[in-house]
Amino acid sequence: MNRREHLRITAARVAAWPWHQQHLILDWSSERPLQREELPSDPRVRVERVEGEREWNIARAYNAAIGLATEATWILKLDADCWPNAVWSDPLVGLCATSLLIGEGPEGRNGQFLMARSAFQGAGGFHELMRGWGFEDKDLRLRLERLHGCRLQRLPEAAIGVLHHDDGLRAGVDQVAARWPCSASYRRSLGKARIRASMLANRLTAAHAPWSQAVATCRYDYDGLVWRLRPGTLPRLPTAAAREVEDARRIVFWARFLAIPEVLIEQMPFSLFPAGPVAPPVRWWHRLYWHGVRSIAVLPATLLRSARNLLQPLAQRGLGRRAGSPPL
Amino acid sequence: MTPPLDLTVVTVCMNRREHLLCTAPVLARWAWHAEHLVIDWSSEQPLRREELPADPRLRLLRVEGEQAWNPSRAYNFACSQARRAWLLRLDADCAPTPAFQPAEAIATGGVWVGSGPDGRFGQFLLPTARFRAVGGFNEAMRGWGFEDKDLRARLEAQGLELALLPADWIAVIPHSEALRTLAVPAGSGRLQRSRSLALKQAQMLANRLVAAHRPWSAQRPSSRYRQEPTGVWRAEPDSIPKLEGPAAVEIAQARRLVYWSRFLAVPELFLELLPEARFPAPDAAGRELHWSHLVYWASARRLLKALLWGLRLLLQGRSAP
Repeated sequence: MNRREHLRITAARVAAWPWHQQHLILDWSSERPLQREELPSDPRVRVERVEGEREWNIARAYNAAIGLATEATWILKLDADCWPNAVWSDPLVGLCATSLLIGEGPEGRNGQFLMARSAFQGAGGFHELMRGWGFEDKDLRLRLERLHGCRLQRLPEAAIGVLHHDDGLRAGVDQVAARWPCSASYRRSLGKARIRASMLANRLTAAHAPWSQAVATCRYDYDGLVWRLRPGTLPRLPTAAAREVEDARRIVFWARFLAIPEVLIEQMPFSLFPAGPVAPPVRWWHRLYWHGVRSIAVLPATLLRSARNLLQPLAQRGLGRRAGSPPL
Repeated sequence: MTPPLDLTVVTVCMNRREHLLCTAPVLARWAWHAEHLVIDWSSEQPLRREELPADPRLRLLRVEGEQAWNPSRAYNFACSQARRAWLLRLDADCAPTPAFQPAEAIATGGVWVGSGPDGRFGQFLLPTARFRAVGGFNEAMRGWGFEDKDLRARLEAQGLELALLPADWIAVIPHSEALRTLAVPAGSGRLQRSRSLALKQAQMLANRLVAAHRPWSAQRPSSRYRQEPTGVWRAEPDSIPKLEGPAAVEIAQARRLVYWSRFLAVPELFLELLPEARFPAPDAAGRELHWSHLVYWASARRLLKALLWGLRLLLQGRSAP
C-alpha cells in the first residue's frame, strides 16, 4: 500500500531469483494503483488489486494475498521492502511438508516466513481483527507453535535483504509529511507514537479475541478488474472489547506523542485528544504543544540519559583500572 | 425439600475470613448444591473447619506456601478437586440470592457467566468437563484482573454461546478495590488508594499481555500440588508456569511503567529515559517506594492534577451554552 518506490527495487531483485513459480503482488488500495508496466517483465509476476480499503491492514492484506495464491503449495511472504538474497539457493532443500521457517534479524525480517500454504491456513492465517502494524507476526507464530509443537525453524538473516527505512514510513507518517512540512524528529515522534499505540492495541485484540481457523475471515468479490471486500464479512470485536482497544490506542498515541501522562489524558475531554478512523487526527494546537511544551519537558530526561550513557563507560573503565592495579 | 443437583460450589479464600463467615452460612442454607468446596489459599491465619457452618456438604482444603493471591491458580486447583459434574464459582464475598434457582440453567447444558457490578462478572456456572477441556484459567497470569475475561474468550473461541447469570441471582458484600486486588493492605489513606489503583491497572495490563503472548489451553501444563501428611496441599515449585524470554521482559517492563506512570502521573516516555533503579518493579509490600516518590506524589502530582482540573473546568465552562 503506497510503497511503489520500494517495490520497484525489490520486485526486480525477486525477478532475478530463480526459485519461485509466481510472484503475487497485492496492491492494497494504494492511492495511485500499481501498474503492471512499472514492474519487471518477468512472466511470473502477477498483480492483483484490492479496492476500497482506507487503511493499511497487514493481517487482512496477507490473508487475502495468500488466499489468492490457490495454486501454490509453498508460500514465501516478503514485504514490499524485502527480497530473497542470491545466497539463498533452493529454499525447499531439506524441508518437509510441515516445515515452518520464520525470518530472523532486524528491520522487519522477523515478519517474513516460508511455509506450506496449508500450514498457514490451518492456523487461521493472520488475526484479522488487528489493525495497523505490530504483533500480527508474533500472534501467528504463537498459534503455529501451539499447533505444530517446536517445528518452527529460523531463516538465516542473510537469506533476506531489506531496504532500510524509518518506522515513520511503516506507520504511514509520510502521508502526514506530504500535507505539511515537518522536521525529521517530529516525524519520528509521530511514527513511534502510532506504532506504539498500534502494538498495544493489537496485543489487546489478541488477548480479547483469540484467533483460530474456526473464525470466519473476510471474503472478497472480483468485478473483473479489482477485488472488493464482501459486505458483512469483516470480523468485529465484541463491543466492550472494541471500546477498550480503541481507547487504549487513542490514549497511548497521545501520551507517547505529546509526553502527557496517560492518567491525565483519560480525564481530559475526548474532543481534545480524539480518536480517528485511521489514526488520531493531529491539529495545529497539538503541533504547537509538541514543538513547545513537549520539547522542553523531554529535555531534562533526555539530557540525564545522555549523561548516564556518557559517564557509564568512563566509570566502568575507572573500575576496571582500579581492579587491575597492582596491590599496594 | 429440593433434591441437590450434581453441583460443586467452589470458593477460594485468601485472608477473607470475615466475608466467608457471612457467605458460607447462606450457602449452607441453599438447597441446590451437593458440595461446597472451600480452598484456603495460604491465608495468614488458617481457616478452621469449626468456624464454618456444620453443613456436611462443606469441604475445606488448604494450600500452603503461596505468597500472593493468584485467582487463576487458586480456582484451577479448586476445580481440579471438585467431585461433581457442574461447577459454580462463588468468591468469598458472593452468595446466591433466593432468586438463584440453578436447576433450569443446568438443564440447558450450557455455560453461564456472571453479569453485573461488584465482581459478579467473574462468577460462572458450567460443566466441570467443559472447564477442564478449555484448560481452566491461564496460570501464567499473576494477581487479579482479566483471568475471567480470558476464560470467556477461550470458551467463545470454542464456538460456545455464553448465557448470562442475572445480576440479582448473586449477592456481593461491598468492599474496596484494594481488598479485591489484595495488592496492598486495606487502608483508607489517599496514598494507599492511589497506589492500589496503580497496581491494579498495571496488573490488568500485564495479564492482558500474558493472554496475548501466552494463549492458554488444556495442552499447557498447569501447576501440580502434593498433599502433605498434615493434609495441607503445596504446589511443586517447578510445575508453576512461568513466562520466560522476551515476552517476560516486555510484560515486566509494561507492568513497571504503567504502575509508576499511574501512581506519580509521569509520562511513560520519561520513565523509559530515567534509570530503572529509581523506578523499580512494584511489590506487594511497597518496597519500591522511596521518600522522594512520596514527596513527588504529594506535591508535583497533586499540582499537576489541580492544573488539569482547572483546565477541565475552563473547557467545560467554554463548551456550556
